[in-house]
Amino acid sequence: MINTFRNHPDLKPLLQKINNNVVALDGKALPLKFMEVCGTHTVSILKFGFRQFFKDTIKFLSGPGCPVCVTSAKDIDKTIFLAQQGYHIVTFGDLIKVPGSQSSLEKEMAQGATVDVVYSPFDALAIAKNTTKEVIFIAVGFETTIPVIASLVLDAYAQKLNNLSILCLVKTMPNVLRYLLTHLQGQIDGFILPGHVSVIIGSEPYEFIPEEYHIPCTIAGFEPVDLGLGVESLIDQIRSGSVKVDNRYTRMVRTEGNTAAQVLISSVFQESDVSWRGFGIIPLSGLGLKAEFEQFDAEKKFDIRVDDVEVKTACICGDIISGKSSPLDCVLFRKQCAPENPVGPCMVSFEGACAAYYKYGE
Amino acid sequence: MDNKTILLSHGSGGKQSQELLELIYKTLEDIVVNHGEDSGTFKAQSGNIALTTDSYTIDPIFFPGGNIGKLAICGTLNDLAMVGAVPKYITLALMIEEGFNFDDLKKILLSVKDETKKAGVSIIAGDTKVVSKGKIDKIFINTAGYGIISSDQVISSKNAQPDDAVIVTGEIGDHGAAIMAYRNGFESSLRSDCANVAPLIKILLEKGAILHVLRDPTRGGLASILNEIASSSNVDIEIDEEALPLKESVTGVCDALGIDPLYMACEGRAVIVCPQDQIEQVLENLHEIPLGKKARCIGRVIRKSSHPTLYLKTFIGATRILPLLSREQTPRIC
Repeated sequence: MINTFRNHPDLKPLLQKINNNVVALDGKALPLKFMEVCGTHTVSILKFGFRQFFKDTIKFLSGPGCPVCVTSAKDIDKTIFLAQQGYHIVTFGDLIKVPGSQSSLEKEMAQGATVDVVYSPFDALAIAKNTTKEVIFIAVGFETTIPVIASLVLDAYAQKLNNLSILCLVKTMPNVLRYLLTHLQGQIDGFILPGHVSVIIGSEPYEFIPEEYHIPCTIAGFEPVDLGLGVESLIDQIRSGSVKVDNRYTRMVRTEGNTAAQVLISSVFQESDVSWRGFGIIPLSGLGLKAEFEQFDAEKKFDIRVDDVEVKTACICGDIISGKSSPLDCVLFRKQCAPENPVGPCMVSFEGACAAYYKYGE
Repeated sequence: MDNKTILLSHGSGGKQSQELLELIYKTLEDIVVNHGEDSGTFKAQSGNIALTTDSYTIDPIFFPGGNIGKLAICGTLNDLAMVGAVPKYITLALMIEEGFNFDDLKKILLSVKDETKKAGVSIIAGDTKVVSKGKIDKIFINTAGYGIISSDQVISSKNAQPDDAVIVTGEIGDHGAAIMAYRNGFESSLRSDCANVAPLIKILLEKGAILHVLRDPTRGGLASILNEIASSSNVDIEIDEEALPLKESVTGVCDALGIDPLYMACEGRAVIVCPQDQIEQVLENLHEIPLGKKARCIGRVIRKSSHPTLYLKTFIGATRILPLLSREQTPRIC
């Protein structure tokens, strides 16, 4: 199954044809600029060699699709504040290494803070049942992860757990793309839309991109054949001048998405304005708990006091996730900033653009 | 021996110690030599000998395709083979946590016996310690190996030459992926590749193959070992993604966890660097033995280099660097 999409005999001819078609485009400055929104796409593009294969014809820009990378320093400071109060923090692995303004969860662990790294939000439930301490799950993620977090809240509600809460930092995709487009109009020739997020939300929420901004979009999977088909669609749309959201990941993504997951999300969460690293606050670009679940909201339950400290480093993670710069443009890259000593979140996360460039650089 | 556990007193040197030692000696009876002396003795050989030691700790100690006992024997025999030595003797030191199950120890010892016997090797010295609960994790094993080098070839990580071929003796990443799948509760048919590769090397040397480098890609996997060879020999190496022998199930587990199979440990494979004109003979000889059936040429040494680098030619024909990883691979979060 994997090899069908990874190393198919038609793949190389397809990519060669795409390259030829790009060169033959009329009146388009090369390289074309395509933004891959999702961090997993960034990894695929570098890992399978697309960046090098298309180096003269297509420039791939990383978008704001890595949940760790888009978390602001102030939000990281909130997790550190909670850890310092002696609460039991439960989080995904990558987050512990992200530097806040002064410290990181990893450093707090070395000072004795209780931080458990888990693979599933449900582990927080089990931890809360076995302790009398306040347990706080650090909820980061996009639409892909949010249904599981919603289930966690519903289970905690049903089981009347009063020592579990979540620090809700989850974000949603469509409005951050709108924000990017209003700030970067004319600079992006096509979007490779996130496959995993689209499984949940479907293709409809992206329709405004071709309609209002006339930019071609494709929903693609993560194997080389998936990516090749996605890129082919973008080139075809540019050639024909007829733009749309073209779903090339039909084995996973339906037009309407996963409606059961959508119902689950909207039963627990409501849209809210949230803060993004590099962008600031974007209206209705994230989710907060509905009033009936506010007992599980760590922000309401605890008096979280963090300052608005401006972190002064030469780190350009904010520019990288908005497609303005590449990791190679950063003066810290591979020098002061490396996976063993990350300055910014893009070097921490497996899906971060800097970590991917570091690991798969040519 | 129903659920009998090992107590601190089993390591005290007194009567109870006899019970533990009896289990060990009885199980290993026909492969232990010089039993009952403070040191093992053997007749010295003329020529070059190889000596190696390694300590083994693994979670879980029983895993699909093997256990810590099999690993401790194969790992050390493989290290001997990687300098072109034929293994002769091995030592066995057991560090056992108080409360460890007698039956589990017996299972481990039976694997030790199987592998040692198959390899035609004797256990020449040993030691057993029991330590208080919590001081170690279940059982640690240290083995040392002694082997004889009869070929006068220079086989060394420093000896990779431009245009040499890079061969791997079987599918890669099985051990690491099997352990990861097991630890993460995946249902899979994956098994560790844990095996003694010394017979493969022995036959190559007997048939007169010219070999420049031999390494076993254990911790850090194929990519890390090839980086080490590149750096020791001051050469650039390129491997071809299309040629890599990789099980789809290994790729699947690694993709799900966000880790790279090229960095996953193998415990029963060897990387061979040899002149191009040896490829045919080497592969033919390897293919004759079941353990070497999937051996393949996966790349070549491309040039001398002052910045030794390992390159991967990807499925689509692009080239990228395969660096040494700076952190241990951790499973993905989303």
